[in-house]
Amino acid sequence: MWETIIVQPFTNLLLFITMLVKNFGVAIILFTLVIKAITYPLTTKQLKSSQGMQDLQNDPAYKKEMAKYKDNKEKAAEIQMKYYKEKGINPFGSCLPTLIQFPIIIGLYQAIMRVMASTPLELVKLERIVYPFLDVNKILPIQNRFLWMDLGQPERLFIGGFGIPVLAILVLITTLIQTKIMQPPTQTNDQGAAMSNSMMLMMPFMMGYMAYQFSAGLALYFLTSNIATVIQYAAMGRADWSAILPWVKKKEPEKIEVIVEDDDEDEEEVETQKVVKPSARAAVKRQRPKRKK
Amino acid sequence: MNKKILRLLALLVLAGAILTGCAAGIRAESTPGVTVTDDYVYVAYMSNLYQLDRFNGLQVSSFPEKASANLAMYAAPAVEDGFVYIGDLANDFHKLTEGNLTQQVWNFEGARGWYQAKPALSENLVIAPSTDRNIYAIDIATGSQVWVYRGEFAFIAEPVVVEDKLIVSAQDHHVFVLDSKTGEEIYRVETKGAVLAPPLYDPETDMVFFGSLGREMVAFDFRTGEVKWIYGEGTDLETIWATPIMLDNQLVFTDKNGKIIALDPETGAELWQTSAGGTVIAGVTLVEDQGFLVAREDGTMSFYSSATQSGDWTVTVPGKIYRKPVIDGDQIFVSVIDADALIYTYNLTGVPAWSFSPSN
Repeated sequence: MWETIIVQPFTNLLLFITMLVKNFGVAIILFTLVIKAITYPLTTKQLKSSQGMQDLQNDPAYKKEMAKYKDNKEKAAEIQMKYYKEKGINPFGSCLPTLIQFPIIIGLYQAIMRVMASTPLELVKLERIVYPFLDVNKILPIQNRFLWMDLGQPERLFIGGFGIPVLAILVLITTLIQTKIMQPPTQTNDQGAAMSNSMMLMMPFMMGYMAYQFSAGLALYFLTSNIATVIQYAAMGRADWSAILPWVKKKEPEKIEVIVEDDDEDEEEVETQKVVKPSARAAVKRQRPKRKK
Repeated sequence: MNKKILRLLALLVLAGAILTGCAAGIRAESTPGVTVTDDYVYVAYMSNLYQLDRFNGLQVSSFPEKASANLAMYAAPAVEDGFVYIGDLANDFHKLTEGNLTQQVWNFEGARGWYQAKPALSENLVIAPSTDRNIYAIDIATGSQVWVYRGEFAFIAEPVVVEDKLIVSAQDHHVFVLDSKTGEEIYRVETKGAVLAPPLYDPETDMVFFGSLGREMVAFDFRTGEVKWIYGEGTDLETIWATPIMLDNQLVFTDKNGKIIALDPETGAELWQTSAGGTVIAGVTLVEDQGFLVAREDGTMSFYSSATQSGDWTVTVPGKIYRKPVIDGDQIFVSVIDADALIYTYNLTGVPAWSFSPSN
């Protein structure tokens, strides 16, 4: 089932792209971009949802109410849910798309590993899942050479006898950039934020280590995926460049209030960001449903 | 320490263990490589090379002394004059002492790819094909590189040594003939698909035969490289994964669909054809002066006599067969995967003898 629905189509798509461009490295890059494009709506939804959550954390009224009921967890949860409803935030909106994307990422990984078959047994297994319209004798085996890399082996650029893991370093740097520009400017001192920050710092090193250990083909996928995600964030105006570029002015989260309009379920969620002046804040509040005291 | 900080640390350690655990070790799937000598059977599989007593299958020793997740071996070793030559998937090639496998004579670290093919021995050289697209000739005494042949694709088939030449199958749709002393290419023969198995050299006709994923069997003159005939065009031949055999002046081979075909080696004319009844990757194995074995992927192994060309006996090996069984004397050695053991043995009438699994 998993093989037929996910791995086999992904593998054949990757082989098909390889046949078209006649270069496996380029095919991995294009394949990653195709998958990124397919999962774009999910990523967008996830970004919007997480942004809504972050902005809510910085909402002074919300913070005030949370502080008020800090000893009454039930009441705090009730207030929290009310805010979610009011602002049209789905608390699972940021993790659900991630969960849906997870099988796709695993499938992508498995497809790349399959195509890089390097033993006769792996070739036998690969040959079996190639669709008949892709002529097997023309495409197998795949030429693993791309630039200085052997895509089936962990990548090293040998200079003066030393093997430099260029891809692993690039994966580490791009993951670091990605996590930094995506990291919301938090001002809370709670443990959750601390944990999140620590995970964010650990991620680049984990990814870098995996790129160092895994075959270059997979590291190339990591790198392409990271770059595509950064571009995607930048295009959506969500990237906080001040986190990596010191000369860029830092965003001021306190002044931002988010109003999420979600009137029609069939339409894509529309979110507007407004910098609300203190004088206008009362007017905005009037538009909200009244809260019970 | 604060409970929450402890939880946070535990979570980070767990995440680290999961992610780095995923990355550890060599990732390749293959079948056990088997070499049989007068006294021992060598089985290379995953992190060990096992040396077994040929007659009872008991483990005598193994290499390395301590198994590691970062070391894997699938290539059958070459054994000569009391030394064992084997390459691994950590890009190292070893010369070991047959009397004590843990005693390494030298270690060649010049390759940047895996060794998946059995090496060949040619006078004072050991010829080691690598997946880094190179074939290395290593001095048998010192372990230093003598020459290197640079190809276009990973080399995964054992070179065939004929006089002072090497015949090498390549995945880039060629078979190369190299000078074994210098590594210089003498000529190459083109085919329609990747050649995964070693070619067959026949001293009687002085011709070389090989099949490919290009659905054809090719014969060429060893001296000149001139292609004599190609079989496959206009037939329903499938891909060929194994080396053919020469039986009673007939060239016999199988395709993936289990078709057993005999050709006239001089002309390529089809002499007869029968079916193994299932997928065959391991091809046919010659049983000297008697006939041949066909090992199907599903573990069905049948003996065909020269006279009848029909299955005289059949046994079911409990595993999947992707490599040619090895026949030495009156013993058949079959390496398998997806089974309780790595290797099963039979006599020439199909009676099972010992099997070996590392837990033994």
